[in-house]
Amino acid sequence: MNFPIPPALILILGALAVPFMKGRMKNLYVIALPLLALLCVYRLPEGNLIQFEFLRGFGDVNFLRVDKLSKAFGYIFTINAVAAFIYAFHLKDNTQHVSALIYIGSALGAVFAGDVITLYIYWEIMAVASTMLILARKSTRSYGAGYRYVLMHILGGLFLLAGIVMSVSQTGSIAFDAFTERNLGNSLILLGFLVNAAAPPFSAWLSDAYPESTVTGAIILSAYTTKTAVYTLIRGFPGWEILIGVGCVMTIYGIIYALLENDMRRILAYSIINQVGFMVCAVGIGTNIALNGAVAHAFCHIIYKSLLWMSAGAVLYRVGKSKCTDLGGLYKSMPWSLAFGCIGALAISAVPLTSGFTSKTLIIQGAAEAHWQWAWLVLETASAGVFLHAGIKFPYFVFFAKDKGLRPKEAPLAMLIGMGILAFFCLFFGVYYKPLHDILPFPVDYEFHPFTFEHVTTQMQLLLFSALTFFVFLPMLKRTDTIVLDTDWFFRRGSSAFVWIADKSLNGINRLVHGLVLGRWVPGLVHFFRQGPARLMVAAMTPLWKARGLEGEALDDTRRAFFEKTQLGAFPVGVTAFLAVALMAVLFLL
Amino acid sequence: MNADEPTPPENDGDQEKDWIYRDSTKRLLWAVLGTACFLSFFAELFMKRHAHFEVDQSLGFYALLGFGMCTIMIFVAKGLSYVLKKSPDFYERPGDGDAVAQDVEKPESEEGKP
Repeated sequence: MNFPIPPALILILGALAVPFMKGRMKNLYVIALPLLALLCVYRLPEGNLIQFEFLRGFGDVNFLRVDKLSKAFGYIFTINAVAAFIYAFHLKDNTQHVSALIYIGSALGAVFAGDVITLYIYWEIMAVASTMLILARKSTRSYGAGYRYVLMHILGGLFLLAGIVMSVSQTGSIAFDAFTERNLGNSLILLGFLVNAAAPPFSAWLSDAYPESTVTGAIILSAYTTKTAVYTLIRGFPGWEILIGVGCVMTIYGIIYALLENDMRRILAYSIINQVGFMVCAVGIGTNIALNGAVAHAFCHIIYKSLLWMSAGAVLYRVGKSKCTDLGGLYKSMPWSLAFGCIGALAISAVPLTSGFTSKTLIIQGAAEAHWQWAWLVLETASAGVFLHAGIKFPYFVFFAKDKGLRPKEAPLAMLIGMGILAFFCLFFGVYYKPLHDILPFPVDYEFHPFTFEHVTTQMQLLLFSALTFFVFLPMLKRTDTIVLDTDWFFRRGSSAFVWIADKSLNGINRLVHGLVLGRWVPGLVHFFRQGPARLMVAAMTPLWKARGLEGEALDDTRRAFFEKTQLGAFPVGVTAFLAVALMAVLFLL
Repeated sequence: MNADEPTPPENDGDQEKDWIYRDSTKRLLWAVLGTACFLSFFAELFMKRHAHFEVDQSLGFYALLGFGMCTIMIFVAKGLSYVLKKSPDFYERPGDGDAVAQDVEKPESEEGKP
């Protein structure tokens, strides 16, 4: 290979040609682009392939850093994109195609970025392109959600930028490697990454916006933003213990909210937070086996989570509804969507012989070997909870539960093919995990075998008893037509409160000042300047008139007449001349 | 399989319902689940343990963890639901009458006919 082609540019530049294509040609073209990018990722040799000087003294801009870690994410990003575009073969909307390609391309760019400047630029392109995918739904709700989404990502981007500026000025290098110093700059970078990883309390953007996106948009969104964040955490912050706590909170938080939710796509959105929690926790543990687990889990997660979104998307596409209270009994009319959805549900629950089992076992093994007992306990608990909220709840309430009399057609063939490809990978990596373990970046000194009798038995015990809990307590899980308040309440309702407080306080001050200055002081001044000199002269003349013997009404009449004359300046010439002479005399004496 | 009784109005007799909704099927599935739980518990007796901590050495630890923790999570969720669950139009203001998603893909579903 003579000149290395960045896979990001294939998608981003390729996207520009989409509006000029028509019909099937366009759909085939958008499938071909990520295939080409996949081939390109495969053929890239390891090393820093495109470097040039940008800021003298701060090191080179490293446009294309290829190693096993970036390649692993490159593979899964492109594979998932191919499946998603096959699924979206019905789609004719240019906005979605172009923004999806730019979004995926910039995610690839961020993964292959070897310096923080390149990373930051791609990071921001991702935020903008992904917002377009949400707005493409063209509903009032999606506009609101998209607006909140982009505001949250601007906030995260600013954390990141501030952190980068502080970190670069301190270390004098723009290279993006593991951050070891625990200082403010690096912590801000971590915070920026965690906003994109949807760590509470910065998680509401995900569960708020993704379910408001289009059928295709949500599938594509579910894979890239959070997993790019996981990649940057693996690269930048392995072994930062705080991530163990953050990850554990995410896993449990995702489960509780998914249990409360009614919208099937919101259930899946919360289970993304739950699954990313496993990866964040693994990064915090920071041993090679745990980091490999994070990579493997990100890889498998993208596949089964896309598959679940596809299954839910097929239902939304055919039925036009996404609330569990409106759905149910679809198993007969959409058997293939059910079957693929179930494979995804089994994989996310880490049932043996599915991909989730091989990858999650690595993380839990990592936690156990590093002797993080409480983290290990939370992860095991969360594994049980995943089966509860995603593994059973999603297929049960959508495809079984109460028959709502919905008899839609099965999803279109292209959708089924897209789902079929991902379902195949879910099972393939569950049975034959060697190719997956071969691409894992961190060296471990022993062969890992997830399929020991012990692993399988304990995992099955955990899952089966969770299933038992689900059906025992089913009446308590009955769906209600409600939404669940999340941290977005603070800025959705909080903003109204802010406006109210601002109205009452600032506008109150405004009204007060207005009343005082414009209502009193200015008229007072005007009054003073209009009548002041006349009053002064009347006051000066009064003793004179009194001396002349004027009293009572006569004095008042004289004063009023003099006041009016003074205001009008209507004095007889003689008096004016006398006053002028008097003034000059005074000046002369002075 | 569950206590959620599906009762399509036209179907009174158990045999007229779809297989999945019949009471007999429910009983069968309960039996399958119970047997599977028992088998997974039984298999543990023949298992060679490599426990990492003290807690996971006891018999039936994972069964207890699965059942106990899931129960706790369900009850926590139920408790939170009284505070956090709101009507679907909670965030909508009076002017947003058209807030119900106008799905762009709906018109295309007509073209998607196989």
